Amino acid sequence: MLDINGVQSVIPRYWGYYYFANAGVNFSVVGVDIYDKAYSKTLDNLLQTPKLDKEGMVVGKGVREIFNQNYYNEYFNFVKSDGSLKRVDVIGVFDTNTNLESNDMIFMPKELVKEIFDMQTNYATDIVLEVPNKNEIPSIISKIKQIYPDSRVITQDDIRVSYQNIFDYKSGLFLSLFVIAIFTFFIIIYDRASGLSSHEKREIGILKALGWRIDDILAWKFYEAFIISFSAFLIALITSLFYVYILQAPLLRDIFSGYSILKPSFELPFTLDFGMLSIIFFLSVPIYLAAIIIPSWKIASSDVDEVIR
Amino acid sequence: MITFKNVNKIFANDFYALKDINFHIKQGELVLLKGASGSGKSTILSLLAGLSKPSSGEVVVFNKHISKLPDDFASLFRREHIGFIFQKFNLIENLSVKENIITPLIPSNLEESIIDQRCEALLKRFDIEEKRDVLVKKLSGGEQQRVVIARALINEPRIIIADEPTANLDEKLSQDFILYLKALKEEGKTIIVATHDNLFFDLDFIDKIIQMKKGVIL
Repeated sequence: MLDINGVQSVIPRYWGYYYFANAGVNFSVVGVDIYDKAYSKTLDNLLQTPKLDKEGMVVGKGVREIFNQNYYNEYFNFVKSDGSLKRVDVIGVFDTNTNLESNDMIFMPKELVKEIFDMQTNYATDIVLEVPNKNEIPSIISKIKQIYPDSRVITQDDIRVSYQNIFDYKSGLFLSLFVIAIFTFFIIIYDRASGLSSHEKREIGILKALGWRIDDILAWKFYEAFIISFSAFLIALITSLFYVYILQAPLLRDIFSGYSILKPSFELPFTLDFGMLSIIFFLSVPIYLAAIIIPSWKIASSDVDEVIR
Repeated sequence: MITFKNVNKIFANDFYALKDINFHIKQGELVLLKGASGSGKSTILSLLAGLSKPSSGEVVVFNKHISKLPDDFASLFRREHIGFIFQKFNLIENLSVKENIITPLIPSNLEESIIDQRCEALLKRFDIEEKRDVLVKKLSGGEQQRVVIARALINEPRIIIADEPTANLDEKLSQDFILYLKALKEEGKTIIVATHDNLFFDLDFIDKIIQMKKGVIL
């Protein structure tokens, strides 16, 4: 393939799924050259303890937990196709922040992957071609097809589209939930803003008759609405944190991470996005306050004698 | 003390709720506004309290032109001088007895200890001490009526306004209310009661009855 004009490099990749029967889960085993600069630099950023100074494997947090549950603390014995065992030391664990992606991953030298999966010397799981000039990609694909008719060529754009479809589907689901929530909220706001209930009007009338000024009534309404909306905001925040980090987001997590029950379970890393919290706060509390204060002001400013008769 | 001078109140479609009303009430008098529903009694009370303004004419209370007071000053005037007893009690259902009674004083700058002192005295006077923390919606009609009177007195007003105060009470409770009115009159309060309840009309402590029909004084 290197002889095809326009191809700058050809890199074989070695990876596969290893089924660990004891736990009933799959690990995604990826072979890398950890001494390759491109890999080692990236791995250093992803590891909790960035020390890849000996041969071994780097595992995700979920993999590490499953190892520990099965009394493998320092190493793991992989069962090869001939039934013999291959011991590989654990030399690093991926950082918790990468959990969503790295939870079921095992990175190890490609020679080990080939040995565990019993791959022949000149074989690879797939091959990556680097083509600097994008315009040459279609002609290179057709040349590969001519040389290897049973091969499947996937471009970077194909992969991107494929991932995009997955995320579009997931984000579409969340978007529809979000739109329903927003729609419900604005129905409530519209209902509040379009006029107070007869009970609330009566209450304002009573207070005014008892000598409350308009600003006294508005101050009371402000405190009342603020306590309600801010409490709702806090309750929603605490409930969602509880749902995600204590209950581990049942149902929604499956949608996000896929439905595979074969993958090791993982814990979502704790993050609190204050920017997002501010947006939610300013889109809810002040709007609710306005929806209460404005109609209250209208009622309090008008003659209330009709209301209290 | 209270003067209505050539007062008219006109609603939509040129409907005269009040037409050329003139009367004067002295300090300490108990005056009945008598008439059928729609005769204009409640409208007079509303104008007197500054809750609405006349279409023309003057309403003067304590030498102040109530009809010309801006809204906030009218509220202050009510807070200082007027106690309201409404036809349907108009208590705030989700508040306790004590909270309802002190409602008129919440926006005032009175010290909490003074408010508490006044409230306790009224709770005792109207025999509802035991119910101070009970939600008013859980009270009987008679108890609610006593809360309403206590609330009307918490700001130590000189004028008590009662709009059909016995309309929702049985005869026994109505008689009790009349006794409370008598006691308030003896304390020197000026009381104006709008009613068409016959129980009131033979009372010997009534100073004046203003008979109304279709917005005019007969």
